[in-house]
Amino acid sequence: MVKVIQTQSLSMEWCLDCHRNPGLHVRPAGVSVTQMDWKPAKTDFQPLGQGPNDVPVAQAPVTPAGRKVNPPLHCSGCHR
Amino acid sequence: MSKRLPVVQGRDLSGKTYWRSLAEREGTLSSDVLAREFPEGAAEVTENEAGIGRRGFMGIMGASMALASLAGCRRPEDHIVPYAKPPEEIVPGIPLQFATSVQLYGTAIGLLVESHEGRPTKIEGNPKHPECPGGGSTTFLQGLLLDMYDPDRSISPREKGTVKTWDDAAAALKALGDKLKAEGGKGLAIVTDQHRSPTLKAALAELKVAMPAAKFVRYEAFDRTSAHEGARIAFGKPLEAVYELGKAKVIVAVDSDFLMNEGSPVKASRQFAEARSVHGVARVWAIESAFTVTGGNADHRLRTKSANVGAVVSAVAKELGVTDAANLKGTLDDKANKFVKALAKDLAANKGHSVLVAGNNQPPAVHAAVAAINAALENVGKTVSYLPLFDDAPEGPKALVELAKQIGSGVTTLLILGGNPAYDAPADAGFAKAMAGATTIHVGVHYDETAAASTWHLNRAHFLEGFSDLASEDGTLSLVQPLIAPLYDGRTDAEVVHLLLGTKKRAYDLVRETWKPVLGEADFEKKWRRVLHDGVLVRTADTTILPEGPKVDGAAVAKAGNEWVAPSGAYEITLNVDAHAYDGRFANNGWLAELPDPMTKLTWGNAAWLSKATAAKLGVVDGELLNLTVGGATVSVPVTVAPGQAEDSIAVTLGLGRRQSGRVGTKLGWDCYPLFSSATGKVVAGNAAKGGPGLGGEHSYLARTQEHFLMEGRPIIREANVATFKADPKFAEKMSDPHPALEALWYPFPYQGHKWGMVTDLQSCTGCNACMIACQAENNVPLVGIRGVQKSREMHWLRMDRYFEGDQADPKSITMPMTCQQCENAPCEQVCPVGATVHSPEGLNDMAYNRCIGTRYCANNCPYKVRRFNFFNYTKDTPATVQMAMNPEVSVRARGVMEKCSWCVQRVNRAKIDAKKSYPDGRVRDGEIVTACQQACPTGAITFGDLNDPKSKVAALANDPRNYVLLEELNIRPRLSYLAKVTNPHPDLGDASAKAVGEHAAAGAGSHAPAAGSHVPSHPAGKEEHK
Repeated sequence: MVKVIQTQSLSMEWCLDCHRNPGLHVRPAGVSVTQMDWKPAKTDFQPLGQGPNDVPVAQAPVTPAGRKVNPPLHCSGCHR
Repeated sequence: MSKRLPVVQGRDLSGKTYWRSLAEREGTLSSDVLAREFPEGAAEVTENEAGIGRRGFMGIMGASMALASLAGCRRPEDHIVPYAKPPEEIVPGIPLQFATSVQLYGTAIGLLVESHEGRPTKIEGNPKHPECPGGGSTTFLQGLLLDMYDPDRSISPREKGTVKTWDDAAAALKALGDKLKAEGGKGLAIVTDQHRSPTLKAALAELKVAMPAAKFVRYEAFDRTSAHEGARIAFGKPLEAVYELGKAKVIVAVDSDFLMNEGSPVKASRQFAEARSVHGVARVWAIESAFTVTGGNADHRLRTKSANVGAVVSAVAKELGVTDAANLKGTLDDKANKFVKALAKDLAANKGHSVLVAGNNQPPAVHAAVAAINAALENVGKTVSYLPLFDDAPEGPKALVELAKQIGSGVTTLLILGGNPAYDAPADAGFAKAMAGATTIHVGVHYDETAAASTWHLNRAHFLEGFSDLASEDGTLSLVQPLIAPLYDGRTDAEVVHLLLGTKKRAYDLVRETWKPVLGEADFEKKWRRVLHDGVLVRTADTTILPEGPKVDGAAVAKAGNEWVAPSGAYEITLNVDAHAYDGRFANNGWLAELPDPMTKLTWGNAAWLSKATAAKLGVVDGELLNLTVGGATVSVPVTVAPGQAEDSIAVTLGLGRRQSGRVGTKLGWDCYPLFSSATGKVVAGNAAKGGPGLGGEHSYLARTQEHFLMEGRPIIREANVATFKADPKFAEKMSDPHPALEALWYPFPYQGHKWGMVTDLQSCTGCNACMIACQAENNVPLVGIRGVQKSREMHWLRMDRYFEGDQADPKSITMPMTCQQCENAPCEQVCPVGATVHSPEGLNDMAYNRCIGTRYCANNCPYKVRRFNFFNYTKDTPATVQMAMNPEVSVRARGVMEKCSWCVQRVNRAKIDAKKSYPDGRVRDGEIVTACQQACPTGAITFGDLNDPKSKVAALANDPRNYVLLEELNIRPRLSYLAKVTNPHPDLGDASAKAVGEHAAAGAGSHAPAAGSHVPSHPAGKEEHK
């Protein structure tokens, strides 16, 4: 019998793990979208710099199209 | 333990006294009220109160049609249905906008309606439409959306109350139509509302051809019949007065509420704001009995009986030398004479740049006199134009009474297309009774009083559900396109007419047939799609407007003036548009029921407006019943003492007290239609006598929002006259005590990205409340019911604070919209124990509803009192159709959660997402984010944008010299700032000289507690100059 299992926590913390450090999770330009088994190199939160008032900020990665990936970190980014 | 009264640090130095209610003005507010922030019981949820409140509330909002049948199960069962074959252009989650239009106020206004997944969720104005410059709207235009989703709508045709199908109805109509055709239409009468649809006009014309003996009457309780008749007297044929206020330097409202309920309010408001811009503040005069929104925006207001307005107009005409208009009789006291002289002087000095607007309640003789004055002042063709009427069928109360008399003899078949004459016809028509004498077919959106008395009731398609077209007052043609398929298989009026004719045609085809000659056969499809997209076909040239205007027949005007007799009696009673129901059509609309009346701030009901002296004379106080008698009819209405009401004049509103409306409208308020007769019109003479002690229970006192939120000596409203502004443009800053340099406890945050800010211009704000209901529609703000409003628990995120200033009986009024000020050092954020409200890096004060546990400490700490708490689960029993009306982009809040204005963060975020996709730098451009209140505001008073963008409109306004911030001395640094108001009093009547403002000493010494006499400004404090 096929069972359904939950592999990701789907909690807010799980969302923010990527939002806080999107560079780890954005697929690099060379890797094809159809490669289903690509995993990010690291999954731990790694602050790369210090923003104003000592808030750690990740460096925004850039998509192949040249867009900066800057997901919201403030409450109203998702909670409206 | 007694609470200390508040200590005011930054006091108001303008010298004016502002008050919210008469009790505050007289100093009779109990110390209890003064000491408490909120009224007694506001924060308590007692068992009994909750029981009554909720039961009563559920009675109002309870659904009889629930989606799921799993009562008692906490998790509703829903089905997810994927778009296997998606409709074109729909991306789930991305809304679309469609252009349409609607007929209201006697004109047609273009709309843009936002549609989510195929259902309309928000109405906005269409900036391309000439009746809607800037894309603003009004309270009724916003409320129209909820009407479509009204759970009490009529869902099927009915024959004498029995539910039937449309096939049955069509067969019956065809049979009836064939019979009528055979007799040439003998006995057929058609009553329409004041429709402006060329397609319906064409259908009715076809009907007239097939049934030549048919009679037609156009009727609405509030329409322009009197104005048309006045134009007929003045010009020989009835004409539509269309105003262009933008270039006027003197605007005179002759018992006209053109900013709110008459004419074309959106256009008039925008033009009004243009005329009032601080670069040339047009002077506004008002002559009226009840305090209206327009009167509230006037520099000078003459408080006089509506029956006396004609005499005032004649006095002005006499001063100006327009003798034909100088015949209307009445008495003027010294104050009125002084007013007349100053007004005449002002008008004479501004020929060609002035305009007099006569109100629809005034008799034709007054309209004729005003037309004569406008012509003599060379205003015609500049600020006022007279255009042909849309339709020449008999119209108005007299025509309807004529028709009603013939029912049973000359009229045996009655077709009522829209409207509710059994409820709102004049009392002397006896329409409800008379209807029994004929076969009646009623087409309506609700199963209302008229439907209940009809032989056949057919459910009508709401304007958002069917195709039609409209012509506005200046002749602009627009299309009405449906946003959704008819929820209950309703049909449009034109389709019903064709069913009667025996031809079955769709509204879509009928409209295209009408538009073929308009757009021309060549390239028709392309042009048709263009008009569907734009919503409007803008007029190019109009050969019917004569450049010099029609000629005034002075003799006819003089004759009408001589023949007119003012109604005389102990008291005058004026019958006015109701801010909640208009003429009764919106009685079942919950949003409009809870939206406060702009001047009395009354919700959930209507009242009789009396001046304090008149109330004292009659021996009645606020809330007590008053018996009003006109002719043989008596109604009992509760009293509200209204500052600014003329003596011995009682204003009531028509539209509530319905007998058959729905869960909100039935038995809400008091029906005053018995006082309305075609012989006497809307300004009647009658008797008033003290009635009972008032109804008990939840109606024990009137539910007003105004009593709360006092100013307490702080400089909230700041205004000055033009001379002061010119002498010192920065007068607003100086109207508060200087304070020492402000320092915060926290490091300031560098807002490097977007820095959202908003500026509200008090000069433009008229207080119409359109922003309040737009916010409610956009943000799913719940209703709380009458008990909730009585406890100051109304949920409106945006409130319109209306302050009176000056003399108790004859004050001035000024309004200020108040939302969350999005403070940088927000007091609410500092006290939330769970961090549910935090600051975004762009300056918004975010509210995370799921984190909130309901301590209400944030509301306690907010000095502006803009936070709203969900005391009950207001949205638990929302009917299924009303759920469809809600905006899916905003969470619907449950019980126990605090909410407040978010500056439409859903719109901000959508614009940011779009900007990331569209622009390389990913920054939102100025003007792309329009908050709901900003978009709805007809005058454009609210501006939102990025303060970090040096070229943005809001950055320019934030640096405007008139700019000030509320409660600056608290150092909470609100992002919302206001622009002070500049008035333009006439030197003969008011203080028009430049005044020194505020402290003379600079703030360097830092002392903010000056010695007793040194802070008195150079003008006498607190006295009303023009008395």
